[in-house]
Amino acid sequence: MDNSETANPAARNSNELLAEQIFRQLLEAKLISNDGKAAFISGLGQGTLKEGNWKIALEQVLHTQPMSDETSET
Amino acid sequence: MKLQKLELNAFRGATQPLSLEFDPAKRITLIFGENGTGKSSISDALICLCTTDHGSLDDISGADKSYLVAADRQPNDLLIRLHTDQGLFTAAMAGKKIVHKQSAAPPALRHLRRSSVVDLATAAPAKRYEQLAAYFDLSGIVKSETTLRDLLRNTRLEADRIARALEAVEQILDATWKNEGAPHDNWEQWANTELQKDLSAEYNKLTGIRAAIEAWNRAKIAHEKLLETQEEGRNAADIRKQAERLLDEQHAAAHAPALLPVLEEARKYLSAEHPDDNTCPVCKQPADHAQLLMHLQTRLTQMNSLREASLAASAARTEHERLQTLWQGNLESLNADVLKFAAAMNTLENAPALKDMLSALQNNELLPRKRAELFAASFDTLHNFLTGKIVESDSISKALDQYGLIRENWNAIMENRAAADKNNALLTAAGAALHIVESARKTYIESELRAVSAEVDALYQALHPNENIGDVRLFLKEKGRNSLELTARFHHHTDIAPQSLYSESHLDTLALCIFFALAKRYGNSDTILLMDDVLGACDEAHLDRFIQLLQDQAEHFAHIIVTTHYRPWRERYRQQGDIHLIELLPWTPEGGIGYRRD
Repeated sequence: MDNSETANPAARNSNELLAEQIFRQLLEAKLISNDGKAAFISGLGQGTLKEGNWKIALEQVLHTQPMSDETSET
Repeated sequence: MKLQKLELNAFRGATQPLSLEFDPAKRITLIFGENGTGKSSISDALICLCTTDHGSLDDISGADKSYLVAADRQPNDLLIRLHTDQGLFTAAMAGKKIVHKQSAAPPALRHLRRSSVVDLATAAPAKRYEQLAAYFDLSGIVKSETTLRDLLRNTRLEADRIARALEAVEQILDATWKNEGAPHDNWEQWANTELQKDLSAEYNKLTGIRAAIEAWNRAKIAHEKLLETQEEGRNAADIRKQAERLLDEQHAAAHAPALLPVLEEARKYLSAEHPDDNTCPVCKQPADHAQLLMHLQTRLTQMNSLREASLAASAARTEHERLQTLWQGNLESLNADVLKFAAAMNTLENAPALKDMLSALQNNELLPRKRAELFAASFDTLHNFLTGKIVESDSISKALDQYGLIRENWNAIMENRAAADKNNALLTAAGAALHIVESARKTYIESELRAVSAEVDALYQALHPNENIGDVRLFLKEKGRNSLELTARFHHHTDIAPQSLYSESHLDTLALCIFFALAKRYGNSDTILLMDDVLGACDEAHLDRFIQLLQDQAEHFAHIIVTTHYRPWRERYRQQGDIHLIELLPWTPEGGIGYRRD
C-alpha cells in the first residue's frame, strides 16, 4: 500500500480512506465477508466497531467455511 | 475562496471595532506590526473563527477563555466576522465559549505560531506526533484496532479456560482408566471401547432386581404385621377366655343373675321424673318411691361383681373379634404382596428349586392362610437369595454408574474439543485481522510520512541550497507507539536529530518547511494558511529565498496570511506589488488596533 501518489488525501478523511483499504485486505484474506460492507467500513473508520462486531464479522466467514477434515473425508 | 474583510469587535486587543480589508487580487497578506500592536489578536480571531483552538491563549496553561473578550467589554459584545466570496462567517461568545453562527463549516485554516515551530522541530517525539496527528487523524482506526486487540486477548483467555476444563475432564477419565488397571493402550481407547458396550441387559437386570427387592420388602413388612396381629390375637383370646370364665363363676354365685339387667332398667326408670311417683309402676299400688330406689340400689350393689364381670367379658370379646378381623385383613395383604413378589421374582434368573417355591406360592388354589404359612416356611431361603441379589445389584449399579461417568466426561471432552477448535479458528482469524489492521495503519502512516518528508526536504533545499544540510526524514519509532522521529543530515553527519547540530534559524526554517508540507498535503485550494510571527531574524539571502518560497507555494492555498515584526521583511514587501502589506499602528486602549490606510 502506498498512498503517496494519492493527490490531496485530505479531500477524504484519513480514517475513512484507511478503513476502506483495511476492509479490502481483510476481504482478500477471506477473514470477513462482503455482507454489511458499508456499515463495517463506517464503524472501522469512526472507531465504533466493538469487540462483538469484530467477532460476528470474523465468525460469519468461519461458520460458512467447511471444516478442512470434513472436506478431506468427502 | 477569496478573503474580503475581517471584522473584529471586543476581541482581545480590538477594544474598538476593527475592519481589516484584504486585497482580493493578492494571495499573500503580510501584517506587519511592532510588538503589542495587535498581530496576535488578529491571528487568534482567525483561529477562533475557523478552528476549535483559541490561538495564543492555548499556550497559557489554565488561561480563562473569557480573556478573549477585550478589556472593559462584555462577552456579548465579542464578534468576529470574515467576509469571503463564499459567504460570511461569524463567531461570537456564548458563556465562555466561542460559537459559530452559521450552519456551514468554517473555512479550513492551518496555523503555525512560534510555540508550534518549537514543537515541530525540537519537541519530544510524542509531542511532535500530536502536532502531526492534527493533520491526518487515525483515531477511529486506532479505536477499532484496540477493540480487535481486546477480542484477541479475550479469545486467548477463553482458549486457556477451555484447555483447563479439557484437562480436568481428561484427568478424571485417566484416573478412572488407571483405577481399572489401565486396559488398552490409553484411557481414550479404553473409554471409547467402554462406550461401545450395550448395557441395556445390565440395566434391565438391575431394574428387575430392584423391583424384586422392593416387592420382597413389602411382603416382609406384611408378614411381620401378620405375625404381630397373630400374637396380639392369641393374647386377646386368652383374655377373653379368662373373662368369660369369671363371668360364669359370678353367674353361678348369684341367685338370679337374669335379674341384674331388670334391676338396672328399673333403677333407670325410677330415677327419671314421673307424675305418679308414689305408685308402683307394676301393680299401681301405693308405694314409697324413695324407699324403692334405696332397695334397688342395695340389690344392685350386692350384684356389682356380676355386673363388672359381664362388662369385662364383653370388652374382651370385642377386642378379640377386632383382632381377628385385623388379622384377616393382614393375611389378605400378605397374600397380595407375596403374589406380587413372586411375579417380580419370575423376571429374574432363578435356581430351579427357587422356581418351584415361587410356583407354589403363586398357586391359585392355595388358601390365604396356607400361602402365608408357605411364605413363612420359605422366608429364610428367599431372604438369603435376595441378599445375594442385593450384592449383585450393587455391582451392576457400580458398573452402570461408571459407564455414566465415562459417558458424561467423554461428552464434556468432545464439547470442549469442539469449542477449542471453534475458539482457535477465531483466535487465528482475529490474529490475522489484527496483523492486517496494524500493518495497514503503520504502512499508511509511513507512506504519508515518506511523502511529507520528501516535500519537506524539497522545500528545505529551496531555502538552503548548497548548504550541505537536509535529507529530512520523518518516521515512526520502530517499537514506540505514537512517537514521531525526525532526523536530518548535517554535512557528513547523517540521520542526526536536527536540534543536536542545527542553528536556531535552521531549526525555524525546518519547522516552517514541515508546516508547509503538511498544510499542502492535507489542505486544498480553499485552505487558509496563517503564520503568526514564525520567522526570527535571518540574513538577507535566506529572507529572499523564504519570500520566494511563500510566493511559490501560494498557488496551493486560498490565502497566506503572515504576521511579523521583522522590519526587513516589511521593507521587501513595500517594494513588491503582488503582496498585500498591512502595517499596524501602535495600539492604545482607547483606539484599539489600527492600521495604516495608504
